[in-house]
Amino acid sequence: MAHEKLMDRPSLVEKNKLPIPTLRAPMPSFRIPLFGKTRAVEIAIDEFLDAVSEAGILFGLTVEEYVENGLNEECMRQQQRVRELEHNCDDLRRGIETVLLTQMLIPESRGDVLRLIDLLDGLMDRIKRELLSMTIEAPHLPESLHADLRRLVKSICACIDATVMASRAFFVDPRAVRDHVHKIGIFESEADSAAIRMKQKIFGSERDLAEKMMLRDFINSLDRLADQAEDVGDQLSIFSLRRSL
Amino acid sequence: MAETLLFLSSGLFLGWSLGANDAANVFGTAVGTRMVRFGTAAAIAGVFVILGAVLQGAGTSHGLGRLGQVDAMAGAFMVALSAAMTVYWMTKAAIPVSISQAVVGAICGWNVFSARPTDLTVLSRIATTWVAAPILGALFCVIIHVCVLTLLRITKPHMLRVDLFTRWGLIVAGAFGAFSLGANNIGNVMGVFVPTSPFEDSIILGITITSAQKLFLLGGVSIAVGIATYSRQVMETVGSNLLSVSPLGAFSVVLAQGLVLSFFASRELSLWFVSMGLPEIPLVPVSSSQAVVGAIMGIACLKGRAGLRQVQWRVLGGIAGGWISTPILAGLVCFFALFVLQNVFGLRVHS
Repeated sequence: MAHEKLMDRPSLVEKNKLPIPTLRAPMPSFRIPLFGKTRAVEIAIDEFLDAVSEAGILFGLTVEEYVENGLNEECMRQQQRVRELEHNCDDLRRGIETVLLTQMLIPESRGDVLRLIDLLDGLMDRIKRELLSMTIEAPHLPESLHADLRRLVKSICACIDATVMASRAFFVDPRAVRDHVHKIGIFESEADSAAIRMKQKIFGSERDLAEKMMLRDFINSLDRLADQAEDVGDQLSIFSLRRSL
Repeated sequence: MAETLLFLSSGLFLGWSLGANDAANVFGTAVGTRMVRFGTAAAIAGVFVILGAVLQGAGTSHGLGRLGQVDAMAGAFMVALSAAMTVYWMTKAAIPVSISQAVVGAICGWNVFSARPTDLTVLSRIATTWVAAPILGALFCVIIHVCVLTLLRITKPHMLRVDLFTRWGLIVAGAFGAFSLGANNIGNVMGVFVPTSPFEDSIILGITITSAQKLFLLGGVSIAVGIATYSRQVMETVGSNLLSVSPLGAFSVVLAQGLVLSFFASRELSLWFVSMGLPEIPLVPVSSSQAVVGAIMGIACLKGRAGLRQVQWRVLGGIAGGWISTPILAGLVCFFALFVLQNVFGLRVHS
């Protein structure tokens, strides 16, 4: 009964009148046209980055929804959408890799582009895994942690967003990468601070040790997303430096 | 006919080695980085070299003619052969060498042997072009590269689009470079044979084809054969080593090299210079390799201290040394070879 009531409540997305990502047209799978391979790869890279960006937004919305209303259908729907996005990203990655290698495009930057796509795919995979773990394990989040958890998730989302921005900049304006990477570093520090505060609160409270450890792992796991985004940023700095040389 | 072909064979050999080696300056990076397939590069280079040689080759041949009018077929044969042998030996000894300088040295050798005066004014003007070609290459390359980089900074195109433009740019610049190579360097290959050309002028479809143009066509074909048969390895190895710059940088380098070769091959430009009250441009064959090295130096200068650190100063020193050693060696080889040809084989090497 309580669960039904919970399900009847408007979701965070509806409450905030945020665009529902699933309303978007399904992403087309990667196709290699006879001509204009360059344009096709360009579109595929843009779609790939769009997917990572969307997954980052959905990650934030899903955790918010979970903090606000617990595990519900909205959480499951968004988690499912992230899985679809991750699947599409895999297709796009394979297509991009194939065309770049077989058509000998961008010979001097091909290695860096393939590595970047690979790193972003890893980030995407982690977003999916974090949401999947959260929906499976459904950790109990005490009220005292909500504010810090929101701050942590906000910083992680900002990290992912800055990573996507830095990646886009790498393709069109390598000089701008540095600005975005700098932001990634700031957001990652913010995420670390929020995670430390939460862990201090957890271990300073009168809780069962098993629960403490489960919450600690949950927070560490979320925080690693920001670390991974920072790793992508560090690599991007090297790639952009190499391009500008 | 067989005798004519035998005498022309040294020039054709020179043309073949020019095609085998110098095509790498035009399409080396494009093929080395696999941005353009070798077959495409060879076809474009072959066609445009022939077009350049036939349509614009007269200027540099005339320029060489002012240095020495080799008036016997056997003499022309030995001038070209001496130049070819000098280039072969110096390349074997890993000394940077220019076919243009070897030909000039060989002509001077013929002048000395046949007791003809060498016009020192003409010789000094030719020697000036050897120094001017790399400097102009650097200058043109800096201007082109700065323009390209500024354009990219303003328009901010996607990396893949830049790649596409570079690919097409390399093909267009390569075609232009090949045309310029044919126009400028055909003088090296066939210039000495022009005064004793075995061909007659003829009119085909109302168009007059001079005997020199027929020679240039033959020379152009020999360069194209050199490109098709022997330039692949040079393009894939030497080409990529020589031009250790990005494909975008290579575009600027190839375009600059084409401009330098055109600069010293275009009669129209030379006449325009004179009409503007400027000194006449000496129309002589210049080394495409040295123009390329100059252009790369230009890019290195643009990169500042870091770029200059990458420059192989020993190669530059070798090139400067080649300005003196190549013509002297070719001149000596030609002088002694003419002596043998005249006194052992009893051939008339000058009239």
